Amino acid sequence: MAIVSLKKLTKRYGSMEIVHGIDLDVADREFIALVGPSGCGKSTTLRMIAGLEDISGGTIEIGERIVNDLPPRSRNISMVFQSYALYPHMTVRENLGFSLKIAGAPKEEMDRRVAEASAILGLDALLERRPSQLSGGQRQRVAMGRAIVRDPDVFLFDEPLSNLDAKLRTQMRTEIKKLHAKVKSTVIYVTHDQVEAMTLADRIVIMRDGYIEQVGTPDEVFQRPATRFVAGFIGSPPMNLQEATVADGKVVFAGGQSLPLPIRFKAKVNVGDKVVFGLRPDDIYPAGHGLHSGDAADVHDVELPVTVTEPLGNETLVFAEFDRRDWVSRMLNPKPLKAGDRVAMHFDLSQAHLFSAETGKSLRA
Amino acid sequence: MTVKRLSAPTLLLLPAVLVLAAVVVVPLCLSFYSSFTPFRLTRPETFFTFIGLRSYRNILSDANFWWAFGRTVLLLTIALNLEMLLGLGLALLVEKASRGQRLLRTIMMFPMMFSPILVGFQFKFMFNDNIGLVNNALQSLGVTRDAIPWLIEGHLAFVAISIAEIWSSTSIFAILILAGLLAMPKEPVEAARVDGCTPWQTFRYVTWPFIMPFAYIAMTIRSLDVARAYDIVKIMTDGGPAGRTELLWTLVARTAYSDARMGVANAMAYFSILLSIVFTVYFFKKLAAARTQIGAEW
Amino acid sequence: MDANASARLKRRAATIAHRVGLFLAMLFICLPGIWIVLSSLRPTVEILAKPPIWIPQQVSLDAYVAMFSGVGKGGIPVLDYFRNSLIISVTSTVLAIAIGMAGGYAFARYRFRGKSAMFLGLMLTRTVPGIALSLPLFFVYARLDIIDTHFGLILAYVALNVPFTIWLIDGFFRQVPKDLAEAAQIDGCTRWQAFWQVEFPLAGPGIASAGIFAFLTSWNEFALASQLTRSINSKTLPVGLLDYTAEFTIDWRGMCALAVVMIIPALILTFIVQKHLVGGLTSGAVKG
Repeated sequence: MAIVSLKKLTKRYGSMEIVHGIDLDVADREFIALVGPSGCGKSTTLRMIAGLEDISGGTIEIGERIVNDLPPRSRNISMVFQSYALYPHMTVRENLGFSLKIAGAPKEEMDRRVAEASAILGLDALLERRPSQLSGGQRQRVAMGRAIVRDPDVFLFDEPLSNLDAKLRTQMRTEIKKLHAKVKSTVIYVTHDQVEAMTLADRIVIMRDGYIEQVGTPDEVFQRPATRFVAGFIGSPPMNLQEATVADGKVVFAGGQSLPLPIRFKAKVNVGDKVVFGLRPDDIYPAGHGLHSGDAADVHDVELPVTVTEPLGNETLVFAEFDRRDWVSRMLNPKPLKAGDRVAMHFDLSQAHLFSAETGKSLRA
Repeated sequence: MTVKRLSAPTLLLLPAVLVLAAVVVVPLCLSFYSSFTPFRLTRPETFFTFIGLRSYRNILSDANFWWAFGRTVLLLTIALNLEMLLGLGLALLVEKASRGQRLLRTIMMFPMMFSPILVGFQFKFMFNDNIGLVNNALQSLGVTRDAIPWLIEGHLAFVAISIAEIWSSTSIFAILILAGLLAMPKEPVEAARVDGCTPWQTFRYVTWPFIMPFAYIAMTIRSLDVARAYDIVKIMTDGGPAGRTELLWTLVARTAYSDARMGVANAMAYFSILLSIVFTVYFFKKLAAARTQIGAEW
Repeated sequence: MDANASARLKRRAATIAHRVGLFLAMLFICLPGIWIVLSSLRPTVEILAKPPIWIPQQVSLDAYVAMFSGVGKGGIPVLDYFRNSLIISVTSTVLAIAIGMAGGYAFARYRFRGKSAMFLGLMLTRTVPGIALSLPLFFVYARLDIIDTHFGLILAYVALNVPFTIWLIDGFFRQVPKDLAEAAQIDGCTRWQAFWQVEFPLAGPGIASAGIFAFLTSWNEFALASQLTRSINSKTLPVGLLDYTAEFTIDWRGMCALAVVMIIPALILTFIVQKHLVGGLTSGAVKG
C-alpha cells in the first residue's frame, strides 16, 4: 500500500519549470530520503506534499486520498523544518501541545501525548523553557517532538540537521533512526547530505534539476548507480570519473593513457563510443591495502606517482596522478607514503562503471 | 580642578536638553504659573495677580470644557482603535499581494505626506454639502436626493472629522505593522499551517504575537502626535457647528486667542498635555515590555 | 475529489476577496489626492456645477497662474510663503539633525544612569500639543520681540524635531555594529575620528532620512505657526492656505492648486526616505 503517491507532479514559477512531472510511491512505514544538490527541486517537492506550495500539475495522494488542493491542515501530516520553526513565545510544553490544542483535544489527552513525546525524546527537564533558552540540539528535539505528538500519516523532514554542528549532526542522525524504529511511521526526509540519506533511509530518491535520477535502496544506488550524476553524488570520497573513448579491448583517456575494457562491458559498447569511466576510491588501492582481493582477471596494475595523502587513522586517502589528473584511492591498513613516491596501484576493474558520455546513463543495462 | 569634567553622554545630550528646556520646559513652567493668575494678554499687569486654583475651579465646573474633553477622548479612542485595525488589515492585504509590492507600499504611505492642515482642507472640500465629492457621488448613485449636511450637522461633522483623522493616520500603523510582517521568520507560520491551524488561528497564535511590538511602536509614535487633530478640526469646522465638534485643543485656542483669557487657557492646556502624556507613557510602557519579550525570544 | 474542489473554490474566492479588498483600500487612499489635483485643473464653473460634472471638460493651469501672479489679482503671496517655509524648514532641520545626532549617538553607544527615563523624558516634550505650547511661547516671544520672525519659528521647530530625530538616529546607530568603531580605534583612530570615518558614513542614509522627516514636520506644521506668525515676513504655506478660507466664499480651485504646491516637495522627499524611515523606527523592536 503506497501511503504517499506522486503522479506527474510538476511545479512551475511563471514560465520556469522546476519540478518536471515526477512519479514516486512511498510505502507505509517507509523511510524515504530525497537527496540532491541545492536547487534540484527536493525541498519544493516536499513543500508541495505538505501543501505549503501550490502544485502546477499532476496529483499527490496521501493515504489513498487526493490532496492536490487541500490546505496543509487537512492533510494529516507533520513537518520538521530546517530552522526548527518553534513558536518562540511558547514554552516547550506549549509548543509540543499546540497542534492538539488547535484540534481541540481534551486536556488529559493532550497532557498524556505531550508526556509520551517528551519521554521518547528526553525533553522532560525542558518542558517549561522557551525555545530561546535551548541549545541547537534541544531545539531540534522539540521540533521532532512536535511532529510526533500529532500522530500523523506522514512525517516530513526538511533538512532538519543542516543547522547543527558536525558532531551533533551525527548524534541526532542516530536519534532520528532510533525514533523511526520506535514510532514506525512513514517518513519523507529531504537532505543535501548523501551520508544522511544513506544512513537513514530505506530507499533513496536522487534528484537533479527537477528530475528523479534514481530511486533505490542505499545499497542499490551505491553499487549500481543508474547515471553518471548518481555515481558522482553518492559515496564519499566521490567516485573517480573520467571521460574516455572505447578502443579495441580498452578505454583510452584524453591524455592518451588507457585501461583494459572491463570484461562485463564488452558486449555493451562499440569501438569509438564516447563513455565516462568510473571507479570508486575503494577499488583503487596500493597492492595489499585494499578492500577486495579482486578477481585476478579483472585487476589491472599501474605504477603511479603520489601527489597528496590524507591520513585518517584507520585509512589513508591517496591522490595519485593517472592520465594527467588525480585519482583518489582508499588505502586500508595504511603504510606511510609521501608526495612523489611511486606506488603500484591495483585497479579493480570488476567494480568499474561505464556511462554513456552523451546521455549519462549507466551502460550496465 | 574645580570644574568637574562632564562625561561624554552628558556632553552629547546637553544641546538637546538645553533647546528643549528653553523652548518647551521653561515656557511650560511659565504657563503653569500663569494658570494661577487671571492673566489676559491685553492687561499685562494681571500676570502678577495670584488667584490660586480659581481658573481650575472654573473650568472644572464648565460644562463646555467637559464636553470638549469627553469629545476629545472619544475621538482619540475611536480613531486610534480604528486606525490600528485598518492599518493591520491594510498591512496584511499588502503583504499578501504577490505582485506590485513596491507600488502598493508607496501608495500606502501616501497620506503620510499630507500635512494635517491639508487633510482637513481636502476633506472639507469632499464633505462640502453642496459641491463635495461625497454628496455628488451619493446623489449621482441615487443613494440620496437631498444634500447631506456633513459639516453642518453636529454628529455628521464628528463622523467626517473622524474619517479625515483616520485617513491621515492609518498609514503609520500600516507601514510599521508591514515592517513587522516582513521581518517575521516564515517557518513558524508554515509550521502552524502544518500543525492544523486555520488562517485565523495562524494569525492569532503566531503572527500577532510577533507583530504586536510593531503595533505598539506605531501607537507610541501616533500618541506623540495626537494633537495633530487640532489642525484638521480647525480647518474643517473650527469647533462648529455651535461647538458640537469642539475639542480640547480648539477650545484652548479659542479661549486664549479669541477671548484673550490666557490664564484659563493655560489651565486647560495643562489638561491636554496631561492627556497626551498619559497616552504616551501607557504605550511606551507596553512597547518596552513587548520589545524585551520579542528581543529575548525571536 | 470533492474536498479538493471545494478547497480550490474557497481559495479562489479568497484570492478574489483579497484583490477586491486591496483595490478598495488603495482607492480610498488615493481618491482625495487625485480629486484635489483634478479640481485644481478645472474651471470653477465645473467644480460648482449641479448636477456634478464627473469628467473634466476643460483642463487648464489658470489656477496656478493666478496664484503666482501676486496679490491684488486674487492671488495670495505664495512665493513669499514658499520662501519662508523653505528657509524655516531647512534651517530648523539642519540644527535638529546636528543636535539629534549627538543625542542619538549618546543613547546608542553609552550606558548611563537614568537612560530610559531620559529617553522617555525627551519623548514627552514632543507630546505637548502644539496649541498648548503656543500659549507660553506666544507670551515669551512677544516679550523678546521675535514674533513673526524666521528665528522664532526656527527655534520652536528645532525643539519640536529634536526628540523624534534622537529616536530615529539612535535606531540607525544601533544598526552599525559596535565592533567597527572599535576596530577603527585599534587601527589608530581617535574616538572622534572613528565616528566620522566609520560610524557616520554607515549611519548616513538613516540620518538623511531622519532629516527629511524633520523637514516634513516643519514644512507641514500649523498649530504653532498660526500663532507665531503674522505677515509675509514669516508666514508659512500651511498658514497661507488659511488665507483662502478667510473670506466668505472659498476659492476651492485656488486652494486645491496651493495644496498641490505644498504636497509636491513632501511627495518627492517621502519617496526618497521611505525605506530607511521604517528601518529606523523599528530597529529596536527586533534587537531589543
